[in-house]
Amino acid sequence: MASIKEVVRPTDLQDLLSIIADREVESRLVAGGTDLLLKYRTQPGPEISIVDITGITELGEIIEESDGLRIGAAVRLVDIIASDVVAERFPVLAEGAVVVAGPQIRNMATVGGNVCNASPSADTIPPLLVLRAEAQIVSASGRRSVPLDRFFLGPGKTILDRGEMLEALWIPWPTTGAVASYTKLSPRRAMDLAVVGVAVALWNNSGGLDARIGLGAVAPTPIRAMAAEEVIKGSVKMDSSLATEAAQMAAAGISPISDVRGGADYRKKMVERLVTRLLVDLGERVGEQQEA
Amino acid sequence: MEINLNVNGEIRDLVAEPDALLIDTLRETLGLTGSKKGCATGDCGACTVLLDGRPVTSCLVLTATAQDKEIVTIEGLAGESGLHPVQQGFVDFGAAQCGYCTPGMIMMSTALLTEEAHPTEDQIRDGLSGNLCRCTGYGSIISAVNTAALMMAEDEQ
Ligand SMILES: Cc1cc2nc3c(=O)[nH]c(=O)nc-3n(C[C@H](O)[C@H](O)[C@H](O)COP(=O)(O)OP(=O)(O)OC[C@H]3O[C@@H](n4cnc5c(N)ncnc54)[C@H](O)[C@@H]3O)c2cc1C
Ligand code: FES
Ligand code: FES
Repeated sequence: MASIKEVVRPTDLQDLLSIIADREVESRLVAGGTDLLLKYRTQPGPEISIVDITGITELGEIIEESDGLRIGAAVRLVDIIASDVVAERFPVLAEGAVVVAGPQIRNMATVGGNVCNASPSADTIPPLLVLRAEAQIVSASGRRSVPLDRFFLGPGKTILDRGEMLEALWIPWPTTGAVASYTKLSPRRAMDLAVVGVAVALWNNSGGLDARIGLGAVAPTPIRAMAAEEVIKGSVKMDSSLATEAAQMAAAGISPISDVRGGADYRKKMVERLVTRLLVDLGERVGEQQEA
Repeated sequence: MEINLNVNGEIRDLVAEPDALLIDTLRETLGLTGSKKGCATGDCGACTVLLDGRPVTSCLVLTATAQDKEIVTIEGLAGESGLHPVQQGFVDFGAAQCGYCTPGMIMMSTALLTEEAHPTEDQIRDGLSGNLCRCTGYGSIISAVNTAALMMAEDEQ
């Protein structure tokens, strides 16, 4: 079993980055700890040094920038749910955050932890994917930014290199009239992981409709259903036949596993159903794009 | 490592392993055995305590990261004038059978009523969705919280 050698709690980002850049020490970042503490207690591994990132003020901030919203990696889910700007501009993200676990966990769990844990069923990831989020990554040697749909490599695996951490998630302001929603399918309303999670964003631009579809718990990582997005692109109007066609495309493009939560066929059927339903609902709400 | 914790308004100096969990430190080192350890995986809520005013499952908190924060456990809830209204509500409604879930239920309910003085039944159910009870049944627990809300509203007046 992995054992914790020490717990360090830096208050300065540069200090933190030099700690994780040190190749002599096996270190692990901890934010809310709701994934990490379970993992270290159940998986064998080397002695680790735990680096608490919650002492760094800037990582806990939500900042409105001219072209988008910057959400610090250590912003807690409870703060996402309570944020006015999220409620007003990106309610789909709060819809994802509020269905994670129960209230006690949401008081500790962070959005950066949910993303970096890279679980296929993480509830904030499909919403972030449809919002065109970017992962802002920092290390002692600099910064880089990567679209979130290129951040995940497999269950628990991300593109983060040793010495790198997620600094923030950045989301561009939405097109006027854009709408989005997330649905989590799980037997229990709380404290249960998604059997499938579906997020859809729909908006109009000069060439007609455009959509983004994010799927959770149907592949080794959360994914976008790009072929289904293509079906919608450029259409004049959303109706049930277009929604169904796109949803069938989304279901055809996945090969989920069968496990205790649901069989592969069931998951495909539910993806088809939920994508259809969300597209039809959003089709009724989507507004015209206004010239800026 | 040497740690000082602010528990129920008192600063407690202690020595803890770096991997010590807050629930174990509270129970084993400080003798505050009111908080219970049910699952140790964040699922049952029996270990719920307030950390800087917010309810968290203390089985998922490292003792080392609870320094500089205010911790309130079930032992710190009753005032000089007697039981907290939520505790009284649980007594009045027989909302505890074996009692194992009760401290967590009460801490969670107290936090809920601080945020929302007049919760609907749905809000209470949502608020307690991270707390499991294997014996009493949730009906009397919800009645207890409802009554506590009314008692607290009366006290306000
Ligand atoms: C009972 C229970 C129920 C749950 N239910 C759900 C659920 O319904 N839906 C859901 O999506 N999740 C669920 N979870 C999982 C968990 O709560 C979330 O994934 C949570 O958001 C993780 O955030 P954290 O801050 O606690 O992460 P931590 O545990 O602190 O970290 C998670 C991982 O990410 C790494 N990490 C953290 N921050 C950074 C960073 N800034 N840069 C790089 N790496 C970083 C850590 O090293 C670790 O590997 C549940 C967990 C529990 C215990
Ligand atoms: S013991 Fe902490 S949630 Fe069950
Ligand atoms: S009273 Fe026994 S578990 Fe709730």
